[in-house]
Amino acid sequence: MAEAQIKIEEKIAGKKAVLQLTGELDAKTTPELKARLDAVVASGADALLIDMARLTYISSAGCGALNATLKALKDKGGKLILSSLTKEVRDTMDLMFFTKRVAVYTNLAEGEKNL
Amino acid sequence: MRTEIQLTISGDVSELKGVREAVRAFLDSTKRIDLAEDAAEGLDSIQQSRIILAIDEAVANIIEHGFPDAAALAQARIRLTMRKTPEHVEFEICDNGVAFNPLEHKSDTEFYYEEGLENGVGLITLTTLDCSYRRSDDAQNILTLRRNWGETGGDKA
Repeated sequence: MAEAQIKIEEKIAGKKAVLQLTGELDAKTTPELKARLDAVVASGADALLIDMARLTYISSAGCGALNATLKALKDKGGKLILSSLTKEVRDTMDLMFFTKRVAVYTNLAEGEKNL
Repeated sequence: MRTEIQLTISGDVSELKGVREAVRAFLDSTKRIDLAEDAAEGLDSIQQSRIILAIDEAVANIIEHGFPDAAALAQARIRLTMRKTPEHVEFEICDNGVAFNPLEHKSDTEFYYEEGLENGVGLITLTTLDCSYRRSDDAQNILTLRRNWGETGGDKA
């Protein structure tokens, strides 16, 4: 049986970073994202945009990794924002109140403009 | 008409994708089954997504917190039974982990966000469905999640 996969494409420019996610974020794949997020924050980035155009699923594990990163960035005066949420991913993040804590932009270009 | 499918899951989070796919296929198949004439034809994408999410969260919670150590986890037996009738769709998750009623768990979302926690909001997803819990005489947790066909997507959140 196929396992869930997550692909993470990363662009870092100065203290700004953009991560584009493809695949699914569940209890299996989230540790991979969390390691990348920790590395991005450790590299000195303080403004992070996560684009979810090609993310088809997120569970509370994925929200948890983003939540820990949100806290780490806020503690150093930075920010985390999201873009391109599909209807189902948006609904999940609404259920967990995550979308009340971060700005969400319609698409990648809008997100980058506000980073 | 009544349909029932059963799935056995080990204590490994690698199996979660297969669980989600099985639930999705089961829900999609409602459209090809002769339900009563007054039953809804199926569920919309948000209703389906919430059911899949709730089951994924419940099973992940059992795997990650239901067994005290690796030896116990290796003996994990989790069984998902999916049933549909003209009135509702029902999912029963049965496991041999430590006694735990997920419906008694209260998520403290303020604390979760203030502290930047990685765990603590998954079981909120159970609130989108009608759920019940019992501990059986043979030391099994039995969680039942049910959705009636007639309900709309956001009315229980």
